[in-house]
Amino acid sequence: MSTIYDVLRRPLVTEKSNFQANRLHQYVFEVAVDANRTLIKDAVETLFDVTVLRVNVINVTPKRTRRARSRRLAIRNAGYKKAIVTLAPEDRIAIFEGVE
Amino acid sequence: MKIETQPREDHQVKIVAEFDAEIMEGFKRRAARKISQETKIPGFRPGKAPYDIVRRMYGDDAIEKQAVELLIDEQYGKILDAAEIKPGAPGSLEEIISTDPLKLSFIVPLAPEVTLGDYQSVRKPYEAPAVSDDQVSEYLRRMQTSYATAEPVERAAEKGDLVYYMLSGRLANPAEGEDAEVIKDGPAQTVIGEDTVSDKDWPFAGFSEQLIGMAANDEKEITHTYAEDDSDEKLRGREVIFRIIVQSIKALHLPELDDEFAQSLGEFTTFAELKDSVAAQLGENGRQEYDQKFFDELFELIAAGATIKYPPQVLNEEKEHILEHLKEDLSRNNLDLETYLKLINTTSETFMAEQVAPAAVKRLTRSLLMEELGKAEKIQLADADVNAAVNGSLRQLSTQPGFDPKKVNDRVVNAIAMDAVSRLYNQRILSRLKSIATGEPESTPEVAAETPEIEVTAAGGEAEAAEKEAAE
Repeated sequence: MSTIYDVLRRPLVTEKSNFQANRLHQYVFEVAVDANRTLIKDAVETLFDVTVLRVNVINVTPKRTRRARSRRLAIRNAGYKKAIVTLAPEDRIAIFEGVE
Repeated sequence: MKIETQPREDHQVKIVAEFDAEIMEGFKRRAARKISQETKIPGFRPGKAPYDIVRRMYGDDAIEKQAVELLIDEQYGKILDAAEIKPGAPGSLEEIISTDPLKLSFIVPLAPEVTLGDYQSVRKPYEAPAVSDDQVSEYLRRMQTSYATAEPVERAAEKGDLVYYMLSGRLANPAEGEDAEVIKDGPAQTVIGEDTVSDKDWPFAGFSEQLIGMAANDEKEITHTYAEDDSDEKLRGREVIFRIIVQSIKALHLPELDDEFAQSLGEFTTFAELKDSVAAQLGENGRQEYDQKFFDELFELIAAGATIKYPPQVLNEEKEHILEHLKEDLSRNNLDLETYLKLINTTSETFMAEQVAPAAVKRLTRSLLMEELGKAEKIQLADADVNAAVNGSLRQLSTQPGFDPKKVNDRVVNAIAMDAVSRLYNQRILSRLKSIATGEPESTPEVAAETPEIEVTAAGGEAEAAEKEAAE
């Protein structure tokens, strides 16, 4: 059982998550595979001092791909658990918005 | 936008421009978009990463640098407009004085400025050299010899004969280790008495005279001491023994200078016609030579009275122009510039300073003066003249050997038209100058009243463009 401090692995910054953060107040993290909604909510609220309204969780399936050098060798990249955290309208998380 | 200008001594201007923060901010955004367009940022499609992400990935410096570049590209023209400067060559960014607020300094070369002095009062007599009868008869005599028929004869050589012989030459008393051979044993031919007139007798003046009286298979040795001031340094003051073996002698039968001779040349019917044409040709050559000298000196006089200012960039351009011409000429003779410099025994620096630079200054002043004079005298070309000149050039081109109509595209035609028109324009200026310098009464040119509008025909459109460019 992990504590709230090793629940959040890293923020996911992509075009999509950028849109979600700006328009929907949703912030996207990669989280530990054994984390659940409650833990994620606690972690985000404690670490960033914000109010979490809702947490959506999805297991991103590992995808088959090929190695860059030897194209015959199929490999699988690791899957991970992704959490989409919706915050209260007045809250924001700075690490998504460039250099502070 | 705040702008300060400081004129500099070498006809350039230093502009310090300060930009508002908002302008800079806008350009920063554009810069970020450009960076994200050009580089790969994980998680984003090219060009889609937001400003903050780009900033986090690449830092403020990169964005600022890009922004300044974009800003200069776009605002440079506005800066020049605001500073009311006519640039003569591309300016350069001197330094970025500060970035917040953005303050840049540029060095801008100004367009050349020409103030014509009192060129109207420059007087120089024009005296084209006349062709003397001697020149004409000399020319005709040369023609005569070149059309002469040779006929082998069995007698001693006389003046005017063509003699074939073997010639070898060696030094009478060569120094130790010196190659005694001056002329390698080999065949030679001379028309006795032919070259003494033009002073081109070889191997020494008066040599051919020595052949007089020799018959075929005769042998002779001549000892000749070269003068101390001979053109060949090696032979100065040396004694050389020449050995001659005559092989054959041919008498030259000169054609009579009469109507028949004239007709044999094809274009003429009578001898008088031929003579006139020779005189005209000689006169034309002499006049051209004199013209060049006359205008060279005239321009020196005008330049002395005028003030001409230009930035060093323009001069450099002219120098490069000259070098390019030179390289072209050299490559036609299978030489490159390095070899040529070695041949004339200079380095490229001294060559630039001593040969190219003065020539460039001269050409530049002349072309600037021409331009200004053309404007001052309001010289304009009439449409008919322009068209005639362009068509003439094109026709001339099409008669040249190796002419391929497929190769003639718009660019070539344009270039030819440009060339023809500018030549015509220059001719007009020069003839006007001539009439001023010789003090002829000023006549208003009949073409000045016409508008330079040209009806757009096939060649007319190009000619018009060319004319505008020529006038600029």
